[in-house]
Amino acid sequence: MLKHYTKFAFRNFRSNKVIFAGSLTTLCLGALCISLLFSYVHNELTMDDFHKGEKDIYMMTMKRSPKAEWGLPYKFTPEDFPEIEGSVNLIFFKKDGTKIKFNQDIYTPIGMVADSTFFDVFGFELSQGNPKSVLYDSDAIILSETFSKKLFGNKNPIGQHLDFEVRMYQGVHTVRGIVKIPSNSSFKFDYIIPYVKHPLGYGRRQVSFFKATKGFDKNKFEEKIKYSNNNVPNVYPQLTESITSLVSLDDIYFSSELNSLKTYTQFSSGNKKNIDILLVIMLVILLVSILNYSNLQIINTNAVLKNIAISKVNGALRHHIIGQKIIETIIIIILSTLLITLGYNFLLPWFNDFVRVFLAPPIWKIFLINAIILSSITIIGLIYPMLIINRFSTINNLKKTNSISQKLKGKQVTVVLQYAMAFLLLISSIIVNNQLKLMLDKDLGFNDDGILKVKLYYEPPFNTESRNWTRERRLEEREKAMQIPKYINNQLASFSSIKQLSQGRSPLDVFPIDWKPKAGDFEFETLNSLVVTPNHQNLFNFNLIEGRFFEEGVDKQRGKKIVINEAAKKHWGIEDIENTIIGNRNWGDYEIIGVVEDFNYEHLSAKPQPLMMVYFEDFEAEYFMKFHKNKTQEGIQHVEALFKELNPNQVFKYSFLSDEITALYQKEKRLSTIYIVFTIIALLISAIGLFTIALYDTQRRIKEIGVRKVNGASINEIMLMLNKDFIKWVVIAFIIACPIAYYAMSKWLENFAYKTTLSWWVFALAGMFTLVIALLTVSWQTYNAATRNPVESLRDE
Amino acid sequence: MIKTERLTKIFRTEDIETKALNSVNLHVKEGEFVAIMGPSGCGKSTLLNIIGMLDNPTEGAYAFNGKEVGSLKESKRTQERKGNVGFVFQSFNLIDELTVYENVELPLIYLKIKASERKRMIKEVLERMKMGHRIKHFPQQLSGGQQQRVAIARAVVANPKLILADEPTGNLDSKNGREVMNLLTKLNQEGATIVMVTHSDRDANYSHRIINLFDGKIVTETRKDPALV
Repeated sequence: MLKHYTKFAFRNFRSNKVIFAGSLTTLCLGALCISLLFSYVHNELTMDDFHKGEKDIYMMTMKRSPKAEWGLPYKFTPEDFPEIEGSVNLIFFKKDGTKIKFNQDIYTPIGMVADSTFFDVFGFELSQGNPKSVLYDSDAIILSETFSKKLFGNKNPIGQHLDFEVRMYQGVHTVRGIVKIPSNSSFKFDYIIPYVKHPLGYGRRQVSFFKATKGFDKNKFEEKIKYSNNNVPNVYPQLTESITSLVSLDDIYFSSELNSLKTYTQFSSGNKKNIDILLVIMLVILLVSILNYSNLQIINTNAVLKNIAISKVNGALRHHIIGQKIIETIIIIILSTLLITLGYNFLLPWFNDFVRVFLAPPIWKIFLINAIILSSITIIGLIYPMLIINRFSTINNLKKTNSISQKLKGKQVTVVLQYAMAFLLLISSIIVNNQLKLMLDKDLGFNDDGILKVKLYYEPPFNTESRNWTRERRLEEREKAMQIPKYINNQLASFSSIKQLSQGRSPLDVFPIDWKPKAGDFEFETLNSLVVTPNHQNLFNFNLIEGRFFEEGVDKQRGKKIVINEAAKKHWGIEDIENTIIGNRNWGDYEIIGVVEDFNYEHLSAKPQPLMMVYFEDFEAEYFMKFHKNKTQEGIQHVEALFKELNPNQVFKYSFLSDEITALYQKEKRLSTIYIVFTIIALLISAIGLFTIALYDTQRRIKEIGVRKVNGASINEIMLMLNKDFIKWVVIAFIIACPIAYYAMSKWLENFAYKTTLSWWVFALAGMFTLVIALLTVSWQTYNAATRNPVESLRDE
Repeated sequence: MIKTERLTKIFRTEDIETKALNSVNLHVKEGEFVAIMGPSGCGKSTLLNIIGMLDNPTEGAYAFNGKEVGSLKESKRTQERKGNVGFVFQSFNLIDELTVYENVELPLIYLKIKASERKRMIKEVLERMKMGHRIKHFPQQLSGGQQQRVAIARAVVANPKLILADEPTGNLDSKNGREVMNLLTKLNQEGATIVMVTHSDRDANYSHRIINLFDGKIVTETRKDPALV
């Protein structure tokens, strides 16, 4: 029986090639998209789940005052609490703050110093080395698999020596372990250095994690430690209002409250909204696939209805007919699963590159996921066609030589729904694209055109001997160290290619710190602040509204003066800047010297927020320069030569500010690309459906067309008659989709402070585009039918 | 073998009610060859479908081999039909996707006959139908007469006691038609009961008894061989 089913299945595929090819393409495209997106979404949603008991692992955080942002506590001693099973302290280094030297090559990886308990608290596994002992060895270094590959290729890394250097420390470390970092880890790093007793960094970047015992009550514990950092007013007078809190490791990834904290730890951030959008896209693709498959199966049922009737006359029972269908479906599922598994592995590298994760699920998982997706598409898609098979009686099917598709209203419903979904995606993708364009083209309020950013100077490592130096010796050493920045400035000034120059931080590179006006009833709150030097104003073209900007010779660096933006002025309702003093929680009181017009230093989802500009000179800060016309290449070469002279063996890196601004919109860009790709796929799947319907419908009407032509209908009239039905469906779909798309996109645009307009032409364009595609698809068939000689078609009968 | 009493079939659509069969009493004995004649729409095919258990009567009783089957559900009817009734249609009704061999195999598969046994039975029946040389062909590669012979082979392969033929020569030229009628006669002589619907007087003449149907009623019965009645 199985043999018969299988044979019959393949014969059916052969005689209904279009349906078979259409079904296979629908399933392959649909399931491939869904499985790729699923892998990504699954990875995001299981973020950090690989740590055993990740819900019981907590990070300590602290707010210095109710309006401040979450940061890290100054002091926490987990040993004092019996609820805590184990804890680990991590010290993070500034990005680009570490150098690892191997074979003359210098790398600036990201990493941390960790207690020996690291592997007890976290679930990371070592692929080489013993987790129990590796962190006790003070000259050890543990590398991530990825970083180790980068350094040593396929050579055994264990026992290799590396020169390690941070600001206050340098030493030779031996590779003792290799740690695996799963793709669903929000915590990514290149190396771990065991905790050593001498100071390796700054206490403020020290993060405490602990693992709680069973039955731990977070709220109770938080209540208990709430004010634990305020009890030291003599040491930390700024902490008297602070609140200490816990964040579960499981919540770190999607928490937006911790954003400022994440900038100086190695935790990445996820976006639940984006995941929701991806889930919606997945659902739409799934529905479009199901509808299309259902559609094709309805047509297929028409084509095989007579065969079913013949089988029934010859003794087939209902279960034989269903058995036949099941075998056909299983064959299609197996075929598509094989194709998709191949396709998945082929596309995965591109996809990984695109979504910026490294997914590598085992092949059986891909196979399984796809088998599940395909089974659900086919099973749901077959419900309606199977009902139809049951509804028609055997004799009718035998008697009628033509098919009965006229009666199958369901087909129209599926096409309409399918096209409505395709419209939804199409309209959304145009709007997302428009929004992206708006943000990229938006005048930011400062000049970013052709400005190069480069870091030229790295401070030498801290000399531990310096603790014993006399005051004179210190001044002498300082003077010596100052020579290099001076040299840089002189060199840069001598480059004729440079038109304008400034040092400091990029307008995009703001940092959070707490401010409040001295007079009045204000609370400290964390606001964005920017380190500038006097040349910033001209280089970036800041528009001064009131007062003045910092001036060389007039203002001293780290002098107690600030320039604020309009938003800050409005924020506190400052009327007279000259009589307002702004207090900084750490640095004391500042006098406002000027107000600049708001510029967009952040993602355009938000209107410019208050910004405080301080004048600090920092030799390690970046240089910003603008070159004379056509001198850019020459200028970069000069700067590179200077860099190489100062930092031999180090890789020269530079960037253009405009590229960094574009990079801010990477997320939207990816979203837009995802939309476009999946819209095309949804349209393609829908086109397959329409094509097949057109093919079978016109075949059914061949005689009618013949009769009409004999009675004087022209080709155009026949085409019009045939296309009218299909167009009607597309138009109904359009009418259904428009309000839904309008609503959904207005909701989405609420996320942005600057929105593109939902103009009518977007909808018209989507409508026209789809209509043209549908017309082309259908006309291919209808033209053939309309131009056929009526004598032939009538003779057939 | 076939015994119907006041067999009535009514087709209903939204606003029209058509009485296709009106109180038909028909008795067919085993070994008989009966032809049903009448104008288009008189209910011939409807009667044949009910006899063949493809359809149920609206009213009346139908006993097949002494068993009441008139009110059975479709799956039960299929069970009764299996192996007992063979069908031959005007339009052959072969499955285009299956070869000659596979078409003939169809009823045997549903009867769960072993593959080796099936092979023997199919070979034998196709030889008898003079189609032994065409077993790997597909229906579309055959002439109408050949197709009908395959259809007959399929109808008789499981040795059914009853063969129902719905205008078996309707799509054939006279030479092929004659051949098909000879085959049916031969099958009848070998013991099969045959009920045939036809328009053709010539074909009807092959039968023992001609029943004339008009507006769903039997109007005349002509017995050609009184020995059989």
